[in-house]
Amino acid sequence: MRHKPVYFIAFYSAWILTFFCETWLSAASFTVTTRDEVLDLTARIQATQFLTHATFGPTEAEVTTLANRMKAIGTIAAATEWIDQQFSKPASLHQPMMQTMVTDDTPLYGYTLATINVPRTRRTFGWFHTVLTGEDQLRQRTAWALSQIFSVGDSPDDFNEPANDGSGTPRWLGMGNFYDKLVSRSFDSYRDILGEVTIHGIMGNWLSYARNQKASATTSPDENYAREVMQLFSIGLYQLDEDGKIVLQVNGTPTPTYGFEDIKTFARVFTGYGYFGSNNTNFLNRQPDFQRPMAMVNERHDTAAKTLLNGVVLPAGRTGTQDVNDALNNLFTHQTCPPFIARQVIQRLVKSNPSRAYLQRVVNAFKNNGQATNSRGDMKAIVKAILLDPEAWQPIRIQYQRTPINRFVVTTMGTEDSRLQEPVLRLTRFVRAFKGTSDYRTGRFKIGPQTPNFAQSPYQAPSVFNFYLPDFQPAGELIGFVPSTRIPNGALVAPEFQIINSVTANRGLNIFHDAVADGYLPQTVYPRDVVVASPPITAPINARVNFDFSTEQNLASDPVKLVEHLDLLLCGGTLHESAKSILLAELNALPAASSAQRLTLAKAAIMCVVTSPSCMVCE
Amino acid sequence: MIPIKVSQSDNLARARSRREFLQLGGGCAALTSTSFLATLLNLRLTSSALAQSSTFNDYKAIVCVFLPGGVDSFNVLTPYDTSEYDAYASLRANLALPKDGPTPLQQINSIGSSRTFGLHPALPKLKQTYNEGKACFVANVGSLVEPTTKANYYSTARLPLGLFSHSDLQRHWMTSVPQSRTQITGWGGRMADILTDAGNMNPQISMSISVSGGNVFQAGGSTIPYTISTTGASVLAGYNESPTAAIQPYDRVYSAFHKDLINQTYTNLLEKTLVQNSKAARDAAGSFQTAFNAVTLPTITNPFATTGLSSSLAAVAKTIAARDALTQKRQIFFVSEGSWDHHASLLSNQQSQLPNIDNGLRSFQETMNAWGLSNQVTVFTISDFGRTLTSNGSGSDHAWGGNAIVMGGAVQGSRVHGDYPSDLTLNNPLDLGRGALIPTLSCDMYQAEIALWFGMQNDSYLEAVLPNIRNFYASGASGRPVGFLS
Repeated sequence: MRHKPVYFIAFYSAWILTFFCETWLSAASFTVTTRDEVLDLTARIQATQFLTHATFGPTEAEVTTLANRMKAIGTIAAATEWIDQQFSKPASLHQPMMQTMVTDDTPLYGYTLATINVPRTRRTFGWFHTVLTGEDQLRQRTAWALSQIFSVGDSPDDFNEPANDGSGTPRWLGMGNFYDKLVSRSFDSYRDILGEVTIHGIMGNWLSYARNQKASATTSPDENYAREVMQLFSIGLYQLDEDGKIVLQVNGTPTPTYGFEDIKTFARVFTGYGYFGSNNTNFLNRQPDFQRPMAMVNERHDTAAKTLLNGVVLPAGRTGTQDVNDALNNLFTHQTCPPFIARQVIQRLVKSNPSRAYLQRVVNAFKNNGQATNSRGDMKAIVKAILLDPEAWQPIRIQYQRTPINRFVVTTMGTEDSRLQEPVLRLTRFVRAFKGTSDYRTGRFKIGPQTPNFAQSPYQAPSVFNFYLPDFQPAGELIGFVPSTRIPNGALVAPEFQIINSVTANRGLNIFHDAVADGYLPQTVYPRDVVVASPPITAPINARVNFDFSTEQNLASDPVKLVEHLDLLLCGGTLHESAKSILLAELNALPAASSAQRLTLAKAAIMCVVTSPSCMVCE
Repeated sequence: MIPIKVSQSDNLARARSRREFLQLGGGCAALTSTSFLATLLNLRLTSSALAQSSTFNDYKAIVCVFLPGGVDSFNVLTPYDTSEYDAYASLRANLALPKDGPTPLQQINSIGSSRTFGLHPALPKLKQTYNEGKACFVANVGSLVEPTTKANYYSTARLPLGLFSHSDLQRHWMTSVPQSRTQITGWGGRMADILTDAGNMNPQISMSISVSGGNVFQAGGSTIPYTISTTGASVLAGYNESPTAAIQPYDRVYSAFHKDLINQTYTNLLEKTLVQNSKAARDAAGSFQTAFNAVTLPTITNPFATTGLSSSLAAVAKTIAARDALTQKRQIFFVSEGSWDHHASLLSNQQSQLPNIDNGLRSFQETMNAWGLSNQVTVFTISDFGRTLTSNGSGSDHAWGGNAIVMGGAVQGSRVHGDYPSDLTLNNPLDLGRGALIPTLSCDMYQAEIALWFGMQNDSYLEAVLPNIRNFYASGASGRPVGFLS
């Protein structure tokens, strides 16, 4: 559906004009009467769009605050201000929250950090509570993006034991410690993050280079980390131009970034790591330590000279730490690192298919943060460049037309500018939008693993390849689709579709349908969750997340207003007119005389909008 | 990793555009993001999946019963002849099962062998099925990369990664690629990739069906397991194909809204793809549930219980009975049951948990017998590993080789297949210490036997399913790998 624009809202940023020639797609429109309404709607839509990129879901209150600032000082200025405020907020850490959520219950139920069962559930509780309530939303969102690059799953036995690790901390908390490194480092240099990850006992265990030693007569160094640190954590398989185009060889095939010899060389670099407290004597026996960095035991390190990528040579006879630092520098300064990493962060925050120009701009920020230090890899600069880029805002265009009646029209760019929202983010967005509160006695959110519903859940990536691959293409029309030349490599991807299948497609909607129908998300803590309880627990411990639909209930006597409200809150104003009209036709057929009837009507509208394609696909 | 199967011509188009995409962008999932080995497998499968096109005329199903945690299976199947039993009893000490007393071992024969064996006293119904010729054991099987002995274990043998951890050995049994931790597809999934065109006409429901959630065994390159619960498919909650028939007023709106989404015009291809996926999943669940609910289980001597393995296998049985409605000629099931990591209280734990297995297996076999499907359905167990023969006090610890159960009309029943170790003294030729036994049969061989029975040929496709198979079983070999299936 196309709408002939009558005039652009005056304050609307000039850069939008550059995309005027694009085909504008699917539209929603709102009836407006005053200029104030126009200004307010515009600001609300832009605030919602921005907060969808930068947080675990816009809340009504946050949207109002940011929209007011946008009206006061301008859209980009307000967004910049918000980001700067976020940069200065202290980090909300996950491991302490996991611990607190267990020890809070110790006086009541008797279980402790060392006796609880189902640690996977406990970790997930801590994660959801932290991301739902933390004020450091941008940091949390960035850490979640990073955790999908440095992907660690919870399958190793060592990660799930109540027994202590070498630091005297229950091992099941180790994944929380690892995640917190990403949280606390989110706004540091990517190089620092790479270093922090590399020396962490969790990663050492996960990719089997803890206790990895130099070659002997019968053994060779473990190549696991050598391969993945290149393929997944820094440069990927193929050389990229800074705009994301793959560098082709003379014969037309992609240019590999490294070969088998390089893997062997890097495997030699990562020899000598043992768990914290390791020395040459106890190297193979020192118990895992997931709270303190791994130790480099130089006697076990391969000290021969090594030739890395781009011809960089590490001379013989150096310490393991020197070798590792220089090897990570070798990857971090590689020409393909900025586009490889920047693209994935864009995919997690904004859109699946950044244009070449967008990626180039973010790569520029990766290479040089523009500060006096000219630092490379500054995550603050990268995140800011991603969120403030015109392309992060362009997909939603807002127009005002006077004829035939005063209409406020929202149009969207469509396929190239979209991203299927991760199911976990759909859930957090829902909880935040409908003012979810926990009825558990501590008020903390106890939301457990969502893998069966979503094939995605914190700490539960099935492998180091994350829940989905950055280049996944779903079956269907996307495969034959030829995108504009703005897109590198001539094809579109949609990673999040990899976890949509004939089971999760239904279950991933059912959780929302049921939460709306019931008014709460259930979480029963007993009996699986408690092994030691004194006195014995005789009844289930409910820990529901209750939702507040009162705003919607109050709007229910005017279904048009109700749907407009939900459209703004959940779809950023992009709910299709055609979907709206079906919904309104159905809603108008429902009675709205009593308070109970209005709640039912509100629930009908909420469950439809929240499961609509306009809500699930972000633009 | 494509949830919706499309027609053959679409398949070809997709393969072509994928290849073009590979050349243009190097963007194919298989190429950018899996291990080199997996890449090779996936590329091979792309062509093989297209190559197999003739349709199976017969119906067959395999049911993988996963016993997570590592069953102490040298107490499920023990030696019984005096000298062998005495060595067992001596080594296992307080973990040894007695030949007499209130719950004695059940003595069983093995056709073609003069040896007799002891079956755990909590498995009386399995003994009955075994004696009827419809169950057998496969002895001392485990994950190997290549034939391994005590001598080469300490020197040249390439060994599975992560011996003897749960996560690694579970993964090995399921991927059959024990030298890799980054293998993300399982042998069942890869087999389904190859056999789908010939064995599954259903465009929406995979031939791989799990009653126990996602698992590596069934994860394929292009096949995603269809997950059901004991009550059937996960339907779209609140949805009614006739919206006005929905009970709740909000569900009438919800049903009408979702029903109409597919009729709308989408210029955004992500939205279009999502809506198509949703409709396909909704329809699949609806049709599955209709077929599933239409099945009535037969009257049998030992009916299914409503919990445990029984309830899972009842769901498997109903899905098998629904095969024609589901238009499936081949089905691969996955069921996970129990928790078998008995570091403590081994004897009492097995005594209380094995009846669940005994009852479930018996009810399932009786059901297949009643439907005349016994020869077409084969059940097999997998578990992480066997356990140490020596006691740690009241339990046993992680080890390696173990004994598996195979059941169905097609098995060469009443037999103990493979090499059940005749010497269970400490430091015997297979003992790595504490009675941790080197497997004398690779899971590749166990799985190859099942795969060949299921419809694979002993050719390069089998190598795609079981990449290490040629370390144990020659290309073109005519005999069965082990001989436990007819």
